[in-house]
Amino acid sequence: MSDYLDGLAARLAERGVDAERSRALLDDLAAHTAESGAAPEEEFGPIEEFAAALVPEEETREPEPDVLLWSADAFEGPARLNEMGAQGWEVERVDRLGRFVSRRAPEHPQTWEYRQELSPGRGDRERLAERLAPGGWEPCGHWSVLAYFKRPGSVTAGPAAELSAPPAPGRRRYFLGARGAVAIGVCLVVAVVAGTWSVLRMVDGAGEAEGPAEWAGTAVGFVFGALLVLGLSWGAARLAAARRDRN
Amino acid sequence: MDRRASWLKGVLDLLVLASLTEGESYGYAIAKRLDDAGLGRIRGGTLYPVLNRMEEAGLVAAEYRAVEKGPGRRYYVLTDEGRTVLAEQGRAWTEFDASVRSVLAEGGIR
Repeated sequence: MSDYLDGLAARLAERGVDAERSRALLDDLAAHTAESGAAPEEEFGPIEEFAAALVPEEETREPEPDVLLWSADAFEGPARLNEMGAQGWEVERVDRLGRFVSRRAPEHPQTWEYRQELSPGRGDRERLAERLAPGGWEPCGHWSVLAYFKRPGSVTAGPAAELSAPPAPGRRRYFLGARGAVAIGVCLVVAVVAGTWSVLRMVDGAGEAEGPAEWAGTAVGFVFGALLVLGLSWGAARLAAARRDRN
Repeated sequence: MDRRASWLKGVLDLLVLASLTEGESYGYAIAKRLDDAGLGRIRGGTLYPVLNRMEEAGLVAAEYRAVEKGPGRRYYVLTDEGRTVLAEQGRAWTEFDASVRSVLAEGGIR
C-alpha cells in the first residue's frame, strides 16, 4: 500500500472504523488509483479531509453513556438503588411508571448513594430536599408518595468512589420482593373479589326496576373506594413525614 | 466558482443511484460512466464519501470481492430502499429542472 493509503488506514482506525471494513475500503481505493492512474493525493485529496468525509463527525462522537431503565417495588427500592449505585448507575429521574432512568458515565464512572423517603407532596419534598442538602443529597425523582434522593459516592468515599472496572449490568430490570409481591397480591385479590361480587350482583338485579340505580351506585362506589385508598395513602405518607420531621 | 461542481454536489447521489439501476458496479466504473455521460471527472475524494453515506443509509449494499491479482474491489448494488429514494428524489429533481428551464426560457435562454 502507498504512504497515502497507510496514512488513511491510521486515520480510519482513529475514527473507530473496524479493521475489516477499513481493509475492504482501502483495497477498493488502491484498485481505483491503479485504474485511474492518478496519484492518491490528487484523486482523493488531503488524507485528513478524506478521512473526515468518509467517516463524518457524528460517527466519531464520544460514546453515549450507558442508559438503564429499571424498577423495584417500594420495599426493595432502597437496597436495589444502592446496589445499582455501587455499580456506578446514577438515577437521572423517575418516569411516569415509577421506573428509574439511570445512566453510567462511559469514562470514570463513580458510585452513587440513594435514599427513598415517604413524602406526600411537592411542599414536603422541597422541605425534605432542603433538610438533606447539607449531607450532599439532591432530589432525583419522585413517584406517588415516594421521593428519591441521590449523592455521589465521593461525598463519603472521596476519590475511592471512582470505579476502575464497573461491572456489566445484570439482565434483571424489575425487582419485586416477597413483601411487594404479597402487597400486590392482596390488592389484586381484593379488586377481583370486589369486582366479581359487584358484577354478579348487578347481573342478578339487571332485570329489576332498580337496575340503573344499582349501576350508578356501583360507579359512585368505585370512585369513593379509589378516593378512600388515595386519601389513606396520602394520610399515611403525611403521618410518616411528620414522624420523620420530629426525629 | 466552478458552478458545475456545486450543481453536481446536489445531485451526485441520485446520479450514482441511477447508474446502478442496470446492475452492480464499483467506484471507478461509476465515476467513468458519469464522466462518459458528460458530467466531468468525479474524483474518488468526492465519490467514495457519497457511496459510504448511501451504504450507511441502506440505499446501496456493498460486497467486497478479492481478485487474484491486485487489490480487491467493493461492488455496489441498489437496494429496494435505494430504488424508492431514486424514484422519489429523481422525480423531485426533474420538476426542479423543469422550473429552472421555464424561468431561463422566460429570460430568453433556450
